[in-house]
Amino acid sequence: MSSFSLAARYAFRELRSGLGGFRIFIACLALGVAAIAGAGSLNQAIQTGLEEDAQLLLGGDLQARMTYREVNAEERAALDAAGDVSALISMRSMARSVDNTSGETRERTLIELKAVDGFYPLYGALTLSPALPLQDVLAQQDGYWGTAVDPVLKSRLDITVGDIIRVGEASLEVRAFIDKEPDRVISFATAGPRVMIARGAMAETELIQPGSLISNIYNVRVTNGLNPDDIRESLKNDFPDAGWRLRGLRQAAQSLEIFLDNVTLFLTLVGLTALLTGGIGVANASRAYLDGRMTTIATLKCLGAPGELIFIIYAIQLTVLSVIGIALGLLIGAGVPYIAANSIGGMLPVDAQFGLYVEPLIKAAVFGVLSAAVFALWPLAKARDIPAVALFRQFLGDIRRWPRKRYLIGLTVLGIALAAFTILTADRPSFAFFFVAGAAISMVLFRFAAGGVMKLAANLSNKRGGVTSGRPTLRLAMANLYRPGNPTTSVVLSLGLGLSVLVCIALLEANLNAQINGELPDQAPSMFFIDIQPPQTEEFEAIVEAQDGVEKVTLASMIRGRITKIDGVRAADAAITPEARWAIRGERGISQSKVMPDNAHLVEGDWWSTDHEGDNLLSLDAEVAQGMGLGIGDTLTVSILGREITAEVANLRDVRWESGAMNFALIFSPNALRGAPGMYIATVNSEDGAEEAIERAVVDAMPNVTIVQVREALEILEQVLGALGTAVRVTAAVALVAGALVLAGAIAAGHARRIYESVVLKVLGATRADVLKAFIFEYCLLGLATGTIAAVVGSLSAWAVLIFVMKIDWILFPGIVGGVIAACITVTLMAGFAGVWRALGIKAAPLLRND
Amino acid sequence: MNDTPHNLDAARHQTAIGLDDVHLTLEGPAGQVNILRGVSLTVPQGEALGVVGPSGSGKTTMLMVTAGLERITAGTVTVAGQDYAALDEDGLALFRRDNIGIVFQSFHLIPTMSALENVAVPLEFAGRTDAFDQAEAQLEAVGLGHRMGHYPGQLSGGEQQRVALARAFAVKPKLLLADEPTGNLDGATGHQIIDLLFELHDTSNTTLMLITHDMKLAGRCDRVVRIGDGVIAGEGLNTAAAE
Repeated sequence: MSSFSLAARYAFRELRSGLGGFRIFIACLALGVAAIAGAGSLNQAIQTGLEEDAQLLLGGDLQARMTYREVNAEERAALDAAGDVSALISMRSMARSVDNTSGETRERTLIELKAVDGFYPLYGALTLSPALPLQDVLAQQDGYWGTAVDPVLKSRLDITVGDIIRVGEASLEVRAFIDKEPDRVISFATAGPRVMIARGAMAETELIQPGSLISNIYNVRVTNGLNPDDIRESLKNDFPDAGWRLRGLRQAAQSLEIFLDNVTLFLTLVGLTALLTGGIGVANASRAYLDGRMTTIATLKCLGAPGELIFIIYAIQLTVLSVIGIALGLLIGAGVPYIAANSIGGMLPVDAQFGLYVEPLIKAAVFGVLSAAVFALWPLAKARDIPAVALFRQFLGDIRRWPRKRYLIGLTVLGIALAAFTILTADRPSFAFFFVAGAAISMVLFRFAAGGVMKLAANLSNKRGGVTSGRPTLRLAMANLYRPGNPTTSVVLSLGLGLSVLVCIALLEANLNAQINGELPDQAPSMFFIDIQPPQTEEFEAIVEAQDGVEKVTLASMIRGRITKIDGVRAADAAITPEARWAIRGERGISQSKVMPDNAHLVEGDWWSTDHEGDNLLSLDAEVAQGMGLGIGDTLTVSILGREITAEVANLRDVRWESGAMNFALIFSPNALRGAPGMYIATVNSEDGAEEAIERAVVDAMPNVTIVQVREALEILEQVLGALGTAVRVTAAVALVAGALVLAGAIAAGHARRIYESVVLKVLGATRADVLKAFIFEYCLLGLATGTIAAVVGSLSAWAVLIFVMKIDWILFPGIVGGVIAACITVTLMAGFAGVWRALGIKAAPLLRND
Repeated sequence: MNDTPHNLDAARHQTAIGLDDVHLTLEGPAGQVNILRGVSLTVPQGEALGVVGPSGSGKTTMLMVTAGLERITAGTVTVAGQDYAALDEDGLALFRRDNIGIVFQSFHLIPTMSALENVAVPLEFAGRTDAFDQAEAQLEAVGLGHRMGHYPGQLSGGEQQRVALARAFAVKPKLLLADEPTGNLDGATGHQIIDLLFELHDTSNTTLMLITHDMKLAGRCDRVVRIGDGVIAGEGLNTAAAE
């Protein structure tokens, strides 16, 4: 205890000189902690908002949703027993505006149609302009059913209140625009603007046909006093084959929550990257500080201070600094939700509850403490071993390469604790595990790369008659890359880590854009057609083929069904890999075909004969089959409209989803789905500019057919990707800022050395230009090496993600890679130049005088 | 010996260093400090001049002024016929490169370069293509032929000072400035360095300005001046010894 109080006294005595040399230490730690605390606080704010708005978002306390059919009397009775039920219908369709005088179609667009009953909405309120009661707006008046529509349609259909629009066969009078719809959760899957009508008007549209893609939604306001979750469970058990999707408040905005969780996970990982990068800055700053204290430490040792006391003195100092850095980080992180409230509050689909959230702050603080400990321990342990003789000998070399065993054990324990905390506190521990493993591998990789750079520099500059011969400035620059205490490792590690993330993201984005913009899949269709009734197929083909610019029409039957059993085992109980899990999630499009589709690539098995009868056969996506552990001869059972159909896997196909062409994971032999009320979907490949005429011809002749223009869908996708890309770039910038801080720290640490070298060079006859050249060479080489390593690592990561995860073709964009290298050189040069400029102005004489 | 006594006498008629009423005033935290207060000194080519004086008297400042490392406030500095007032900072650097070698008490070698590379630096700055061969010869001359690849950190103090000497003589300077070159060395090593210094001075007819506290050492010079309180306080060993 007495040695601790003695150490504390010495520690605070040294800290009296101020925190000037610790700006980088504090900034590095604060940045990482702020990023983690900020991401966590923002997520909590949105989560809280989601929970509070769950009833509104769901539209009730409980929701049952089914495709194709309505509930039967028994199911309806069970819902009614729980409370008030509001029954809705939702589907995609086309809306057309008509000329008031000629009655001809003027404009047409894809919409999301919602037919509501008198109970809608059970929770919250619909805001209309003009502010009229919803039921009055939707009621039938003067022979027309009314409709309330998304204001976007004002311009898209060129309509205003009082105009008539047509949906399917129905003529609807626009009576109001929807300002706010309580249960509309905007998601990336939202296809079009809302058109709301009364359930009674649905029949007039004639859109409800056997096999039409219709969602019947039943929202329940529980009034029987039971817990909605319990009701959900009993409904599930009582009607196991209903094929409905039951959602309670906890699942209200599941897709949004998953999205938010992913964003938070990503932000946290970026925060961790920043902390990791910043950690290197912490290590550098600690080392530079302790190196500067070598004389003090040696003097203390001469006067009888044991190594342990030295360790405690400086551990106390670094702890004080860490507390300041972490506190600063927490302060900034806690403020992020408030900043976000003012900047992005309006863009969020829910009213986020901005406030102070303690849990993410505690988590960030623990991360800060652990990383500060991990990164500061090594230099501290080495400082402990500075010998008293350091006072008398100018050059000691590396006294002890490795710290004592107990510190190494401590370092290992702290490292494992940091990794474990990262993994255990993540929402998706497996993902965090891969991040930790990836980070560890990257650190080792960058460390080796830095070692390689140093070795190369040493070899090149040591060679007589080599590149540095006759160029003392270049040799000095190269020597500075590998001399003891060089900045190479820390700059390559920290700046390289951030830059390789940037290269990877930039290349992924460029590749995805290339994919979307059609540089790759020429075979992608330009239009999709949904809900073509079986008797309409021939007419549809005739209409489309009569249009100019049509290159190819592909029709396929489609019905939606749910996989219920995998080789006899209930889907919920079957072992399925995460990659294939999507196939059993909800209902999927299922097709049937006599002949093998043009774009199919069989990898195993054979296609059935065109007149196949007998056993039900199935052609399955090879990847899904692999994920489900299915092979030729195994069986798969799907439920279509409550009817279970089991088929034997006859062949496996390699499906290239990214081609954009029509594809199905499951294609049955026609005999299997006989009698099922399927509809047809179609794709059309056409020349640019032909889409408008095709759309007009089809919609005018077949109002029930819904059209999705691929270009419009891709534009939305591009916007989404663009927004995500920006978010990713902004967060990658955090890691880069941390890298830049480390760079600044490394350069600041080398300031005394630069001044000394420039003075000695001047004494030996070097002009200022010579000195400048030496340092410019040094930072150029450092930037070039770091940039090149980052470019290689970033490109390899992007290549691996594209080839192995996204499974799309890979293009290297030299402009991006070169740009990053150039930027890296510029940044290191600028940082270095700032330091050199100060060094050049220093007068030589005072430094050369004898002490 | 390259030069006959007659030639040496002729060379000594040329002035190597000319300081005329040199003043140097610096701004310190406590106000102006007059470091040199009218130093006038003429050193003929080839002479070995010892400079003695108490600490803080202005010895090192006079050396810095002579090397062009410190700008004077008033007066004239002429070295090898060149008036420093006509040169800017880079001009002074180039002049040093071609005419002056300096040896410091603290050696001031570049720690990241080997002994050979350290010696080659001024030669390379001078654009000499045989920089390494010359550097090698210089290191051999100071007895460090076996230490060429060593870094300063791997050399003893005496060895480092020998490297510094080799570096100072590498470009065959007209003027060699030495500031307490044995201050950081033990007696025996110091003797070796001084022997080497005078040997190099004698063989190359270099003008030597040697700053020292050691009267015996100063006694080996052709002439001794004593500095006191920023002015030349006297000349001759006896004057210095009296001090």
